[in-house]
Amino acid sequence: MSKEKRFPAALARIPEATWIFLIVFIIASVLVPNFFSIGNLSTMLLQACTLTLLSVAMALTLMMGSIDLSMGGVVSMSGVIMAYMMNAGLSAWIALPAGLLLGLVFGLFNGVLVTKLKIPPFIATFGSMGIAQSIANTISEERTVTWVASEKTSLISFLGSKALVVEAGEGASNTLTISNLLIITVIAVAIVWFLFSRTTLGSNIYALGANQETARLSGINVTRWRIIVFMISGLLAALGGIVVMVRSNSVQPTIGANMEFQACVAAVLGGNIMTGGRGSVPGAVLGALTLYTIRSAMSLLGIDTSWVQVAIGVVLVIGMIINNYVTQRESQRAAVISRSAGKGGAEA
Amino acid sequence: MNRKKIMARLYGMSTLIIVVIVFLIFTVACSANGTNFIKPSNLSTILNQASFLVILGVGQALVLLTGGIDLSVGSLMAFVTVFWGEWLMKSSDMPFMVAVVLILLSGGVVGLLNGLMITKLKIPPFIATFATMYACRGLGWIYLRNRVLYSLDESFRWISTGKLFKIDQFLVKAPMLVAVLCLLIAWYVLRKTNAGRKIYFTGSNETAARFSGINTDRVKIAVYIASGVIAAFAGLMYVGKLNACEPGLGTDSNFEAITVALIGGFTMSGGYGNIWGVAGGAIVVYTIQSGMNSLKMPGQLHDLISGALIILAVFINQELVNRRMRLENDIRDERVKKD
Amino acid sequence: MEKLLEFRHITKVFPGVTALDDINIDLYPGEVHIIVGENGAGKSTLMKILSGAYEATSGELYMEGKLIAKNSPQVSASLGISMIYQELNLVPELSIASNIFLGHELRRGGFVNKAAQEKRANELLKEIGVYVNAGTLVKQLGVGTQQMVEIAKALSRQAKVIVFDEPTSSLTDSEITELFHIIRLLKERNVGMFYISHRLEELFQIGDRVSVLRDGKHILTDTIDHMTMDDVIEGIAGRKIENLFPHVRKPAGDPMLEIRHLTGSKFSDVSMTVRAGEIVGVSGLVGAGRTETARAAFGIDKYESGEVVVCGRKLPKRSPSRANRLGMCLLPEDRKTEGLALELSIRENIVVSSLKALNPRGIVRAKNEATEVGKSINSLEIATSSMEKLVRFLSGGTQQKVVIAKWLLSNSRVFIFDEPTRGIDVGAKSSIYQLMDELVAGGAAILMISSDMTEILGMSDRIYVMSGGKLVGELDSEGATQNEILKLAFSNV
Repeated sequence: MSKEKRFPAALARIPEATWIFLIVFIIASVLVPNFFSIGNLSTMLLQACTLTLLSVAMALTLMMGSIDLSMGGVVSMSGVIMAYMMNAGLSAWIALPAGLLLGLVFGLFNGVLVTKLKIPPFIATFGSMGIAQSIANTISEERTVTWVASEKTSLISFLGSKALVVEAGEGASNTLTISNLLIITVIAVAIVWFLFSRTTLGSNIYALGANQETARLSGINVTRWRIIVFMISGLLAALGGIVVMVRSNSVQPTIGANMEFQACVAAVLGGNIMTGGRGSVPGAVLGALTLYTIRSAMSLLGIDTSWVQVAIGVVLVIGMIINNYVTQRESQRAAVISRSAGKGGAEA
Repeated sequence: MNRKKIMARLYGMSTLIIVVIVFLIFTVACSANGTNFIKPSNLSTILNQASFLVILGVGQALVLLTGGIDLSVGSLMAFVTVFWGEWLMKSSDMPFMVAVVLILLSGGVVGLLNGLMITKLKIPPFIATFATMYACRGLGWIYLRNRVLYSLDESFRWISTGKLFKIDQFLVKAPMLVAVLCLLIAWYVLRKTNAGRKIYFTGSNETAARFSGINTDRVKIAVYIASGVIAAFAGLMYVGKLNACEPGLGTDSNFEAITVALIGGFTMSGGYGNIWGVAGGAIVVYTIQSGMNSLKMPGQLHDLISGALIILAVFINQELVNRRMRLENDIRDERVKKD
Repeated sequence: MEKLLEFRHITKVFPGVTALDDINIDLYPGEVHIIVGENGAGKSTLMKILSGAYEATSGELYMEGKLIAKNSPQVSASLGISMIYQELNLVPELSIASNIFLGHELRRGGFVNKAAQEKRANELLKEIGVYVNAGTLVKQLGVGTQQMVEIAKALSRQAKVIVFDEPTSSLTDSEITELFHIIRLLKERNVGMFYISHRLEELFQIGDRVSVLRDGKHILTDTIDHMTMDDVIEGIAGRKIENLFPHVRKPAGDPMLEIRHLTGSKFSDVSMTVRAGEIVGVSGLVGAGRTETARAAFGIDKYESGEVVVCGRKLPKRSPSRANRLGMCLLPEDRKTEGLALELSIRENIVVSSLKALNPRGIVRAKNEATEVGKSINSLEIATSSMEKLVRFLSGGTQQKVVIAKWLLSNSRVFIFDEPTRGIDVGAKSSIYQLMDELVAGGAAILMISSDMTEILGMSDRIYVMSGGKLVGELDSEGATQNEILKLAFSNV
């Protein structure tokens, strides 16, 4: 196998989202003063934590050919329940694992709806989104849930604290702050990525997304793996709930509303196609970062959030056009390789 | 043989069955509380409110039939009514019909935009309409800032509040008439015209439709335009009811529209669904809301029940549809064997 | 010799249909056991019971003398039973190695050992003579190579039984030769193989024994030496088919379809002419650009330059609806995904291309439609209980007839048939050939793309050969030989 033949194969593994991310990021760095500063970038990363977690979870479900619309509801629900538990005087060491467990259980519920009752994922999770959000609203009575900071909730203050502060110069824009939340997010994403590429998780997800029948005939336990992915998604959503809760030191019951749509958009912008079988974890991260680059840059310019919505809509469309173009180029290249590879086989 | 026929019929009426069950539950629960749930005045309120959902649902159903989805309806409603809202106000010199026409046209333009992104740029409907949803909502806020256009032309408001006639305690209001008209038109187009055939065929198998000489891009664009116009129309009805135009209008409308269409028996994959199901879906959704109020249940539980109901309804629908298809097939084959 | 595998009294009942009725078939090590039968005869169902995808209603399955009590894809895989399907079952986004080891990954400490997988995969590929790096993504491979990957996948599972379900339907002749070479290699290793095919000539090339199924019943099993082609055909159809190819040549009329210098991404400078009353075959290897040319000419895909003229009128680019209005139609290779809406009725499928003619004012005239569809059903002898029957309940041959009926109703005069009889049983094949003959006798023009050499030689008046995206030759079918066509087909690979 010659080098030219391997080169496109390596290129094919770069997520499509790299391009739109670079474009948006470079434009922001050039046009927006203070955007490209360690201070701003570290703040932006912290803000992007929740969406990144959700977007990665969404990428897993999309690659599998499903979708999880319930994750916004799960963020609200697990957030409210954790806050409520601490409000009732329970230790954060009990509340947080309970919240994560709840996410897992809710993922299991989704998985069962999809695999056992054979309800299309979009509808199943659309319905369960309502259920989760409704639980959050009912428990909180639609009021913000807070708790009294004490010994028992010291875990929360620890999570919210800064792990590292480096002052590279004068002022906030030159101060690098790494929060524990960011570290947790990075670790969580790294674990998912590691599992995805080093265990059978990744190949099974691709197989399920490409063709469930293929997966089944290859001896993959389709039901079990689909449930597992929905559970991972629920778990990551609950983790997102923790991040939100720690950052605002309280939980608003509608905090997660519409987050599933943003996560889906970030994941799709990241090259995860909605029909499944294609996509990547890093792509999803880049998708989320693209959205936050726009937010951060526009807020630095003092532009109204309404314009941010419009800008996100526009960037989304441009990003999709670029993704489509990259994919098309890639498949053209593949056709060329395929011919030469086929010949190699025939000659031998 | 005859039993099979009856069963096939029954399986075809899954939405109606759900409507009946929901009504039964609330009637029984309310009578235990001493209130009469099915008294004409209450039914009239339910049907009137459901009419608004019917209109939203019809638009979404059309899009679902082609295998798409339109998330932009709620924001579109807000944006177009806010944009031309000045002319809908009591204080405006412009006849309100001008604004109405412009609003419907603008809805069509946004729909066209959706359709073009989906067909020409090949962006998945979910993403394309999400982008429009964001853009419309943002533009609505930018245009009106924090103002609200309050107090609209009274004769315009007839469409959402007008009272037609009363049968006993049952009040027939304008929205019901509009909803019925809307359903009739949609039914006629879908079942009795070439356009309807093309919509079903495109939704059932788009590639085959293209090979069969259907201009599928045109069909899809037309459907999104229709969805946009219908959403704009729904927007008119909502602002008439509210007596105000505001950019926050219809934040939940896209969810409601999808819910109504799904309970009404439409599928996400397209090519299947009966437009009358939308009426059933809308009635179910509003009956739950109204029934929960009658029972003094906390309003927060509403989403829970409708969420659970979507899952249940889709489960029931898909079970019954398959059985019906098989039964009908058997009936046909048996008939031939007998001959 | 001990039996490797045995079906005993296998019966499978689906709601309303008995798909298999008391089947007894066995397999010895190192044997190629060919299973033939019409579509719907039960071949695939039988193999699905073997793979564990279906559960038999009654009967038993024995592997090496042991009863398989509860079969499932996992169980059959663990016993060394591998399936190679006609639609390839690989995951495009994964590498060759990951595909080969999908579902039974090589592990080290709980993690997938990718390096070991690639090394082993490369060895397996080398064994069957494929020299592609196992790290390549499957989406970058051609169909032929993908099939080889499937075989490597079976080998990696130490397969004792391999089932080939129409493996050659999308392969080029050189790839088929190679496949047969590998099958012989597998025989030497004592692997037992079931081989399902519609291409009867293959029976005699690699088969040891043949079993014939018809309507879910086991008709016969015998060694290949005791059989002739006619025996097999008679067994499949249940009657004698006198002449498979009815086509009689007649003098050709005016040009109906002219493709001039058509150039696109997968083909360049292709010019073809089809006259009234002619059947023109297009031969070539898979990937020669035949289907792509036809799709572009009909307007499904775009092309860069050139033009297409139908009955003297130039076609616009990318508009199948216009092409259709001018009387041109394309019967796609894959009728289930490209030709039919399976969830709609026969009637709705047949009228879809003639809506304007049937209902000129855009409003459906139900009676008119029903009469026209009724006529089509009668004239094409479409076997159905009702025109309201959903197309998904029909057999492959009947489905193909529905597609043809659709185009006949729309008054098409220029037909492009892309692999018209692929996956269709012998009985239905001959009726489709008859239909094609009637069409041209009535003055229509047919361009027929086919990978079936006997079909090309038997049905065409003239033959175009494509290779590597170019038109490399034109032959008169009178006197043309398979060798001549093949030589051309390979000339520009």
